[in-house]
Amino acid sequence: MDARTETVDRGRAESNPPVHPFPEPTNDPAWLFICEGFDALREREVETWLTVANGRMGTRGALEEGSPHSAPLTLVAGAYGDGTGDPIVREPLPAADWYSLALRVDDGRLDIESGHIVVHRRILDMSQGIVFREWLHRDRWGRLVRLRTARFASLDDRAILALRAEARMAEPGPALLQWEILPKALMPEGAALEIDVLRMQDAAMLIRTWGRNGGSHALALATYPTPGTPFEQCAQRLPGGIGAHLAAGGPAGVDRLAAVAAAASHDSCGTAAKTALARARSRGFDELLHRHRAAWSDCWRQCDLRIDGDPEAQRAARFSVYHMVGSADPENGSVSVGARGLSGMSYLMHVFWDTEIFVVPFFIYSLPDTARTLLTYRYANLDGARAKARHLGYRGALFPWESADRGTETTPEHVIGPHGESIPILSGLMEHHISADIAWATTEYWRATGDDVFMADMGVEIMLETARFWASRTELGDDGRRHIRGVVGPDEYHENVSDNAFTNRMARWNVDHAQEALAWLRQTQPGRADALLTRMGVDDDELAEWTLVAAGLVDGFDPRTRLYEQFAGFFEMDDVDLSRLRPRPMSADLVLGREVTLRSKVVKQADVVMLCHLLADEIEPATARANYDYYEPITVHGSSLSPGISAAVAARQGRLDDALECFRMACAVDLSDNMGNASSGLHMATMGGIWQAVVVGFAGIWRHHEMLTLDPHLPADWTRVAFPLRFRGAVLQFEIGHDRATIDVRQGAVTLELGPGNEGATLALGPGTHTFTRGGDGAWKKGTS
Amino acid sequence: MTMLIAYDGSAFGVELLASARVLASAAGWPICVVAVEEPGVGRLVADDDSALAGLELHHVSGSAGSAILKAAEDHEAQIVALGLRSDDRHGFGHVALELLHHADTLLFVMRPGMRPLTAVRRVLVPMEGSPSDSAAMHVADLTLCAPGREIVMLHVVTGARPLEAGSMPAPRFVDSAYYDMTAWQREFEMRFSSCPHGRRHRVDVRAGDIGEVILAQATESSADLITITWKQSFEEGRALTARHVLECSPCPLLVVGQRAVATS
Repeated sequence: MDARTETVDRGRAESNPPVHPFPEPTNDPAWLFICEGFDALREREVETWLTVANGRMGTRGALEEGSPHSAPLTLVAGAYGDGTGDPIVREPLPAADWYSLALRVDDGRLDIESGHIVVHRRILDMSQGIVFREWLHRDRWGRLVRLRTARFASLDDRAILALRAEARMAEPGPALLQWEILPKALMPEGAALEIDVLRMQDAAMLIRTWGRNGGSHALALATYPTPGTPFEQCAQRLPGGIGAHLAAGGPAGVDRLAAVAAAASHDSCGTAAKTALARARSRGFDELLHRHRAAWSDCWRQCDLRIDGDPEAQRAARFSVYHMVGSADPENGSVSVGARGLSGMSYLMHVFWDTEIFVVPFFIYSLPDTARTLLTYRYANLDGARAKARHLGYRGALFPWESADRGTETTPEHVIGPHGESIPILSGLMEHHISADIAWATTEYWRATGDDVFMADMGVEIMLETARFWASRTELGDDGRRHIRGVVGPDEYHENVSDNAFTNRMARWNVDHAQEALAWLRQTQPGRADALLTRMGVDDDELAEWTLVAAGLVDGFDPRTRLYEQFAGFFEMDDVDLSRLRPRPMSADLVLGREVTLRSKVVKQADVVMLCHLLADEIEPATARANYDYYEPITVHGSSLSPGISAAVAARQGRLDDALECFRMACAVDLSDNMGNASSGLHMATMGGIWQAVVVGFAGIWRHHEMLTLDPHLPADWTRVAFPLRFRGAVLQFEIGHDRATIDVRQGAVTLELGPGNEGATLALGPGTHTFTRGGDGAWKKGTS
Repeated sequence: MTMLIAYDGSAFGVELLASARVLASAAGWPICVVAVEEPGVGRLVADDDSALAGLELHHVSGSAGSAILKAAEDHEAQIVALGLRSDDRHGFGHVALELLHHADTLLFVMRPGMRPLTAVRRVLVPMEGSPSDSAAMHVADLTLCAPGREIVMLHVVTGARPLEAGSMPAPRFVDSAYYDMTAWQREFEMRFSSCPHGRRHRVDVRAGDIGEVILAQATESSADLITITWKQSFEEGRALTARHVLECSPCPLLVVGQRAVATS
């Protein structure tokens, strides 16, 4: 009896329990992101979209059996090693392709590029956080095979990844179906110094990866027949394979469970990964799935963003929320959200201002515990920020423009151009506004949550260290005023400029609010305030100096025109033929060339407009309007960070055509099918911008001091926007229509300020549902619930 | 893949013949040569023409364009080499126009005054970044990719945005050039190049008028050959770039028409 026959007989003879049900996508298409067919050209884009992630790991949606058109990747948050390029920077340590599985039908390996695809559909079910695959394929020998898979990164137990795969013959006749279950271990290259693979019992494996100059992770995985499937190990035919002869209709299922553990040092994480895998195996795929679904259900209850009347906007909004949630780990303050999240290698999992200005606001108002964790990452890396400030001859904390696992500056100082030339990168040296951006997010979190414990433990120190940096960063000019010279603002088309309005105004804000935060701490916890000041070596003279610096800092504002000059000399720069830079978005520096762009009045991304958005508490609406009028036409939105914020600002100002144009631009960054932007990773800042555009812009809900303001401006096609918010301990559910809004206060209480026409009237809203209607004069009034 | 060379015995014809032989040799294509006897013109090429040493000459008769197309069909040629001679009215001779519009083969074309092809060392492939415009790159990958040869994918930034799904023109968002341009170039190459030998090609990004940039790049880089995708229509307002490049290129061109793509 040969191995094959033996397998047949045993497979048929056993009385198997019922096969566990295969998970199904939800029936509601508004939750589904569907990719039909297989397009080699666009495969890498599709893989990015279909990333499953839970803040600790992220896996791109590559085919289980692999493809030459694929860019498979599993990233582990916080796991970096030194790269081997020039210059050396910290780079991610990818994990092995834990989901790797290939199906053999008799002696042929099922391959999407040979034979004929009858159906191939991949579905990201955002409600469940699962990527499904359905594949009906006639192979090159004419056999019709049906395969489906479901994979997820557990939101319940963030160490766990899981996959269920099922195959069956779709036409009568027995066949030997076997799963090749050995994942391809990565070769040590780039940031990975060493990788070892340890076989364990029950076809389980442990793959450990060590990074150059620190950083490591371990991936433990196991594969076994889905409970109830008529499969068994058939080592005789395929070492490490799982398979059996099956008549048509018989499902051949396998479950793959994987667990990842990471460490910053060269510690072996193997024990942690094995422990997590044992935990996963004891629960089994179905229990893990149940818990994962429940976790996503709970998450969506806290952060769903519903837009009725515009399916494309709805799709983009949920897609953004799904991926923002997947990019952040609320349980680990040593990691943060990279510019491309956990969905691609571009930007090397480095953390930029994108996180605090664009992404953190979503978390502050939806999942504040996560926002706190993200800010903890910055606090934990204050030493790196202090070191950078010292290195450049300043005091306090200058956060790195690009940050990885050590909080030190990770921006390459130069890159090698196509002709071997060294091209300097100035952002790490000059884009200093990031310190104020982090201070802004710190204060925004505090104001919106009332989390005094965080502020006392971490926030005040962040504020003081960044304020100290700004005080040392300014120069006293011949005009007797303070200046900040040699910076790059958000508009990166213009480098090495002086008195960038965004930088200077945010710096002043930073210093002022550091003083306020300190005053609060002195008042509420004087002992801690004294201890902090003593530890930092800040005395009253220094504090007084900060006050002088803030008061004397120029900001380019002209009260006559209400315009901020983007930087000293901007208004004198060359005008540019804007028709050459339409339709937007447009990379002006590619079209015009760098030299022309450098001397032209053309703006890469919202800069002064962004300032007005961030400091809406302090900058008058008329000033915001004047600056929008001036800067928006010359802004080409050549950065993915730009259009979402411009949409938010335009919507707040009631400029709905502009707002929608920018909003759609933002939605297209990752989802347009003719730009290919997403192939190397998702744009997390854009996603945060989309959320801000909907909630702050169109729905018109924003924080004003310790109140929320209601001033909606919905596009004509949008019939309703609905979302939950957390604000200062209150749990709120908003439903905003054109002329009617309800606020369901489910927990706590909130103070609401109604928009224009109400002369700053405020309302205290307690538990219950509160209804508001728009009167004929456009002003919102509270009605009866 | 057979190359059919349309030869007229003139001095320029000899140049064309020599260049076409270089290309055929580089790509490994067998060659056949045809000479057309047009009504009232008579035989232009003698059987013992010394330029034809080692090659078999076939005489065909009829209207030149139709006769060449017929010969290509008869000889199962997938590429036709011909000379372009402009006249005042169209910028191309009637034979060239007929082939440019109707050939379902690749075309290797030269004009008097172009650098002759003496070796295939550098091939320039202009690409707008859409799937349908990538046929020339596919041909270059399949037929010309070899050690010692450089194939440069040239993308000219114009601000135009192809509507075709799967397009990938120069990025309209560049957050950090050192990350985004690197990632874009890698993806552009993966998307539009599929070298059977797994070789990687350089993506060169320039801005300006497409036609002028292509010509300038061909000149500056001493390109031996430009390979272009061509929609096979000079209808008003269409193919202005292709026309300009065909008229002014400093080096020979390999023209990949949509009929040839469909046929292959």
